[in-house]
Formats: sequence, structure tokens, C-alpha cells
Amino acid sequence: MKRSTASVCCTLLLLLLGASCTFAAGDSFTFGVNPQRNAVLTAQYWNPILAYVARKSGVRLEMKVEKSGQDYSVKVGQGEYDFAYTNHIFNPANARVGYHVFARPHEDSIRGEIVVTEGSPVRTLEELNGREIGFPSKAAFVGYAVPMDALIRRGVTVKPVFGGNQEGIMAQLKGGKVVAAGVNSQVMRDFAQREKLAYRVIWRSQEFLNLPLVAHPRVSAKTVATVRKAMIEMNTDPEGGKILATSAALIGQKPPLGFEPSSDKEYRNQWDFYKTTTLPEYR
Amino acid sequence: MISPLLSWKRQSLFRQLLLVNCAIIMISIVALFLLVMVGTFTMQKKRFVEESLLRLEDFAGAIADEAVIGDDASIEKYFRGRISGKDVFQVRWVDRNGKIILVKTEPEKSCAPAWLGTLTGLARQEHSKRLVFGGLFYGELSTVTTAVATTTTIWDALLWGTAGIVLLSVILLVATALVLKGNLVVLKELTLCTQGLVDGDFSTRVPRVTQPEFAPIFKAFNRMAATMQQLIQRIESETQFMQTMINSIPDLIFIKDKNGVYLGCNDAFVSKFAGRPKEQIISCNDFDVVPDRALAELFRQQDREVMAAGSARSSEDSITLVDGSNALVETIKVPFYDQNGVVAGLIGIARDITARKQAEEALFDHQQELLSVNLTLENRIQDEVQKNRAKDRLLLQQDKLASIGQLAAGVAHEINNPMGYISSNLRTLAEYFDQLVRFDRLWLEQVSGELTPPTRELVAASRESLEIEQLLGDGVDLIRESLQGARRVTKIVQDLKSFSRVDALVENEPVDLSRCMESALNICYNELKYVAEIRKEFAPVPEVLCNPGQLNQVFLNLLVNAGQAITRPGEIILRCRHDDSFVYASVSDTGSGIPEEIMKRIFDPFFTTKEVGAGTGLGLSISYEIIKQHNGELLVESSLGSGTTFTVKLPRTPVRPDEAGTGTVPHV
Repeated sequence: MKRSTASVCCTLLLLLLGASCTFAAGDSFTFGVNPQRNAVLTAQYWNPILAYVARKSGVRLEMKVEKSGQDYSVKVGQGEYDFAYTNHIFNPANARVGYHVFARPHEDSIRGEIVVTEGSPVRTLEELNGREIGFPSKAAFVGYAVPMDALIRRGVTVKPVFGGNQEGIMAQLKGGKVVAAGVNSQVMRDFAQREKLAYRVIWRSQEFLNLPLVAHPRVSAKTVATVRKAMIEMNTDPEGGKILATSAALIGQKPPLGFEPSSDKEYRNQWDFYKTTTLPEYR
Repeated sequence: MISPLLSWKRQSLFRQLLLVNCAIIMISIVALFLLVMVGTFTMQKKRFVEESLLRLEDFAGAIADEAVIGDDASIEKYFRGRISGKDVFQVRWVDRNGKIILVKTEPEKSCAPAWLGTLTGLARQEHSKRLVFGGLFYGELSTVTTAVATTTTIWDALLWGTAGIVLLSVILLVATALVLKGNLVVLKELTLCTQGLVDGDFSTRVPRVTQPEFAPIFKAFNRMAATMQQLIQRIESETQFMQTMINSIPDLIFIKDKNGVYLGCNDAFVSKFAGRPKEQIISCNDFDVVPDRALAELFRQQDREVMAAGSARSSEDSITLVDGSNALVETIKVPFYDQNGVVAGLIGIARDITARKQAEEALFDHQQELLSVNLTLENRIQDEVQKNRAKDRLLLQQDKLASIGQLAAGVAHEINNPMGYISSNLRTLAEYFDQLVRFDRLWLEQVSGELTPPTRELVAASRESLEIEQLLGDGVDLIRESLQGARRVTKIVQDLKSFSRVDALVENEPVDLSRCMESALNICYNELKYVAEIRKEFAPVPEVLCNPGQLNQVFLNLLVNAGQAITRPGEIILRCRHDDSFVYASVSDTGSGIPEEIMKRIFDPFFTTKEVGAGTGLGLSISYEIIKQHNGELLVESSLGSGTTFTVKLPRTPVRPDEAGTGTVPHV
């Protein structure tokens, strides 16, 4: 018993030392951002926040983006990122990695939407039957999985076209390359405001919480806690608030800004979606 | 050595304008070209830099996502697909980890010289950009660009521009030359017309031109020429007038300068004095013009004095005229001055005063004669004054006579009325007395016998005591004589009334001269009847228009004179006769007659041969004046010892006395 206790203590000590050494050594952690927008805009949004967090927490976070949501989802499934801002962790393929939610944005809940431009003649989902519909990527939750599931359930068969990320397909919708698109309601709202795009929602899903901040199991809880603390206090810190406002202005994000603590429990409905979805790739 | 400036000034206007225009055009074109080229260089360089920067920005934007993602392969692939030798020929990307991606190629060769690319900065432009997103440095991008096409275009523009400048310059030079030539032709026309003005042709006019620059000048030139022509014509006219006026002056007029040289003269000077053409006088001096050197020297001396004094002077000189006669001339010389107020010469006017001098002498003689004549005249005037005074007295006497006549007429008028009823009563009384006498006789014859004796005796006694017989006998005579006396008084009164109309205010009226003579005779008959026998030889005569009172006065004077001329019993004969033109009334006496020596003075006022107090000497004078006023004549014929006849001759149609002319003293 003593031995086992001692071994556990040694293990814990080693783990603590390891973590401390890791922390003390100043190693950087990767922070994978779900590619809702192009890489530059994503960098402009997240780099000041991550730099702030690094200054406050001492944990250096290196933002990582991928060319497409699909690539990103693959990286998430491979556990590539130490931290991530994504909801790709809820699909069955990526859930195995073990990312866990530690915070989420203050923002309102999001919905999956199928939108058309204001002048489009399309009024119902049935009118989309047999037509090309845009989606961010196959990995997108509210941008693809949720609306596609709804289409399938309505018996509407569409030809999915992928734009790489949320704003990519929104740009195609604005350019008239697709008649309708499955989008994140919040990203769509911000994009439309920034790009002066008038659009109309022909279908809307139930509410889902916005993308969570998640951490890989390999990251120590202390690091996670440090990061979480810095992030959730950012909103109340003048410097952090200013950075949040600046970044939000870049993408047209509406208040409330900042982050708040969260857990996997709050995202139960997204876990459940994948359990009941009709999408063939998740069955 | 002629300086360039002087040489330039000697160039024609055409050449000057052409050269200046050429220089300005060349300089302007070159300057403009250079300005354009510099502007083009600057603009192209700016554009090149901007394009290079834009290209860099494009590259940066294009690789931004890849830079953030760290996709170097995509970045290199992108670079390779974008660079070329025409613009971006080298790209270098150094990521934040120091990894270098260099992609480059050789720039294309331009046909333009290398110096142009270096000079314009179009040969090579290197720019770099750091990619920082969200405060995180992702790498640095560098590009090296060239503007081969632009450099070539500029070089072509330079070549073509230079050629264009040369061509344009030639065209502009030719055009300028043509325009200048065309305008200078107009100026040449103006020059010719100006030369015409200079040569005295004031009728010259420049043609109308259309160039707005020259039109006002030409119009002004024509106005100026017209004005000059008018002025010259006026000056010539005035000069001609002045010359004519000066030449028409008979005086000798000459002008000399301060050296005594003749500058001009008038025709009289030439024709009367100099005797040579005017051209041979002008520019000559007195010694050339005046043969008499002494006289010339005198003139010279006078000229000097006048010009020294600065004021006019006159002199009288004796000169010899062209016709050889000597003349005395009065010469006035007046200096004249130049613009500076200095005496420049003199003007002389010489007037021939020979005749005037002679006239003055004659006038002096006449004055002397007049003085003597004046003395004579004074004496005659005194005589005339005395005569006038006598006439005044005569007129005074006439007035008195007229007053007496008026008085007599008044008296006669007053007498005439009582004499009327006296005569009437006397005639009535004569009838009554006649009836009384016839009654007395009838009573004596028819009644006295029937009376009783006592009564008869008483009556006889009474008739006797009362001298009835004598009374009746004398009474008839007395009444008859009284009646005769009354008629006589009436007659006299009528004559007095007739005589009273002696004033000239009485209107003329047709008068029988024989009746006038009768009236006059009645007046003076009492005086004449004792000295002469009155005989009347009145033939029927027509009436004449006259003042009967005045004629009565004439005849009364003649009758009284006739009576006074008869010293022993004689005869006075009154005659009336007429012919076709006149009526004659004469009074003849058989008196002593009028001596020849006093015949001429008998009509003079106050001339009398009577004793003092017997006559006034005015009778014949007044009568003469009256008859003259009637446009008639008072004629007198006299013979010593035989008698005198005065005849009044009046026209049968006499004019009114106030229209009568002056009569003449008749000759007997």
C-alpha cells in the first residue's frame, strides 16, 4: 500500500515536475482555431488575444489554422492541437481524442441556418431539391452537419459544395455561385454586417452553444486553469477588454465579448446530435 | 566691329520677329517637351513605384493565408506563377523562422539605353513588406520589379517627340514666316503711305485691313492723314490768304533776319522798290538790294537800332523807286523773337507818304485861306443877323397887323348887328315918314278947308311953331341920308370883316380878284377920292384859290401907296385880266414913279422913301411875301414922272400856300 502510495506520489510528483518543467521552460502550446474565416482574419482576431493570454498567464499559445475545415477536423482528430477553438471534437471520430471544454465565448447561442440572398426566389427547403448548396466543410457542425441533417430528414436531396470555411462559402453565396448555404448563424450575421450582404434565412436549427475552447488531455490542468483564468478575466481587464473589442470589430462581432467558464456538460446537445443524426458519414 | 546688339538692331523687323518667334517657339517647344517628358518620367516612375507596391501588396495578400498557415510550398508555387521578366523578376520570402524562398528570373532587355532606365528609375525598383497579423510577425516579402515596357515606351516617345519637335518647329517657323510676311506686307503698305505723307502727299490713305491689331492703327493713320490734309489745306489757304493780303497791301513789307538778310517781302516791295524778282531779294542784304550804299548803310543802322532796342521804331526816309521817282516813305520796323525770346529779326512796313505830305502842305494853304474866308463870313453873318432881326421885326409887325385885323373883325361883327336893325328901322321909318307926309298933304288938301277958322288958325299956328313943313321936308332927307350912312357903315363893316381874314389860318377859297380890289378900295376910298380919280377896268376873270384877307391887304397896300405916290390930282386905275395860266390884278398910278436906284430895294423890309412916321417900310415887303406864298409874283413897272404899276400875278390853279415853293424876285 505504502509502495503503491509512494509510487502514485512519485508519479504525481514526476507529473507535476514534468508539468512544471514544461511550464517553466516556457514551451508554447498550439492553439488550433476552427477555420470559420480566412487565415489572415483569424490570425488578426486571435493573435492579440493569445498574446494577451500569454502575457497574463505566462502560457504561450501559438495559433494554428488550416487550409480548410476538413483539414482542421483531421488535425483535431489527430490531437494535433494543445488547445483549440472548435466544436469538431463532438463528432464521433474526433471525440476519441478526449478534448474537453474549459471555456466558451460570452456570445449568444448559435444556430445552424440555410440562407439565401435577399433577392433570391427560393423560399422553402423543398425548392433546393437537386440543387447545389454550399457548406463550409464537411467538418462544420452548425454549418453542415445540422442543416444537412435537416435536409435529409425533409427528404431534400442537394449537391453539397464546400467553401473551406464559414466565410468562404458565404463569399460564394454573396457572389452568386451557390443559391443557398448552410452557415453558422453568428458568423453569418457578422459576415453580412461586415460585407453589407442582405440575406434571408429559409431554415433555422435549434440553438447550440457557440464553439467552445477546448484543451487536449495532455495539457496539464493547471495550464488549462491558468489559461482559462486569463481568458475569462480578459473581459473585465481594461487591456483585455480593449483587445477583445478590437478583435471583435475586425469580424463584426457583437457583444457580449470575452469568455466564460464552461464544460462538456453544456455541450450535451451537440454530443447527442451526432448520436441521432441521419448523416451517413456519422452513422 | 559692330556689336551684336547693334547688329541685331540693324536687322529688319521681319528678321527680328522671325528670329524671336523661332527662338521662342523652339525654347517653348523644347521646354514643353522637356516638361512633358519630366512629367511623364515622374508620373511613370510614380506609377511604376505604385504598381510595384501594388504588386507587392497583391503578393502579400495572396500569400497571407499561406503565410499564417505556414504553407511554404503554396507560397513558392504562387511566386513562380507570378514573376516574369517584364515586371516582377525576383521575389523573396523569409518566414518567421528564417526560411528563405527565393524565386527570380532575368528581366527582359529594353531597346532603350540603360542610362534612360537608370535616369528615370524605371530599370529596377525593390520593395519589401513585413507580414504581421494580429501583432504576430509571419515573414518578410521582397519584390524586385522593372518597367521594361514603360522604358521602351518612353524611349520611343523621346525619339518621336524629338522628331515631332523638329517637324513642328519647321512647320511653326514656316507658318510664322508666312504670317509675319503677310502682316509685314500690311506694315509695308503703312510705311509707303507714311513715306507719302513725309513727301507731302496728304491725300494718301492706307487700305482697309482685317487684322484686329492693325485695323485700329490703319484707321487712326487714315484719320491722322485726313486731319493733316485738312490742316495743311487750311494752313495753305491761310498762308495763301496772308500772302495775298500782304501782297495786296500797297505798302512795302519786308522781313529780315538779325543779320539784315531778307527773309521775305511782298509784291509792292518787289515792284516798287527792289525792281528784281523776289528770289533775288531773299537771302540778300540791303547792300545787294539798295543801289544807294549810303541808304543801305542807313537801313542797316536802323535795323541794328531796332533789334538792339527790342521795340518798334519808325523813320521817314527818301528813297528812289523803280520808276526813278523819289518818294518819301515812313518806315516802321518791329523786331520779332524766336522761341527762346531772342530777337530773330525784324518786320518792316514802309508807306509812301509823298502824297500825304503834299496834301498836308496843301491843307496848310487851305487853312490859311479859310482863315481869311472866315473873317469875311463873319462879316456877312453879322449882316445876315441884322437882316434876320429886321425880318423878326417884320414878322412882329405882321402879327400886330393880324391882331388889329382880328380886332377890327370883332368890332365889325359887333357893329354889324345894330347896323342891321338901324338900317331896317331907317327903311321902315322912311316908309312911315313917307306915309306921314302923304297924310299931311292929304289932310291939308282934303280936311283943312273944312276946319273952323279958329281951328284952322290954331292948326296953322301949331304947324308953323312946330315947323312941321320944315320937319317933313328935312325929315325925308334926314332919313334918306341916315339910310345911306347906314348902308355905308354896313359896307365898311363888311370890308373890315373881309380885311380881318389876314392870318394864314384862314382856309383858301375861290376869290374874284376884282371883288378883292373893290373891298380894298372901299376901305381907303375916303383917302383916295381927294387925291385921285379912281378908275376901274375890270374884265371878267376866273376865281383863284387864295386867302382873300391877305390879298385885300396886298391891294390895300398898293392902293395906299398909289394914293401917296400921287402928289397932284391924278388917276388910279384898277385892272383885272387873265390869260390861260394866270390872273393879273394891277394898280396903276400917275404918280412920280420909282427911281431906278431904289427899284431893287422896294421890297426890302423897312425900306421906305416916306417921311419918318409916314410909313413903316413894311407894306411892299409884306405884300411881296404874301404873293410869293400864293406861288405868285408881285411885278412892278415904273417910270419916273409917269407913274408906277404894281401887278399881282396869280396862277389860275394856284397851289396851296403851305405847298408853295420859294418864289423868285421878279424882274421888271
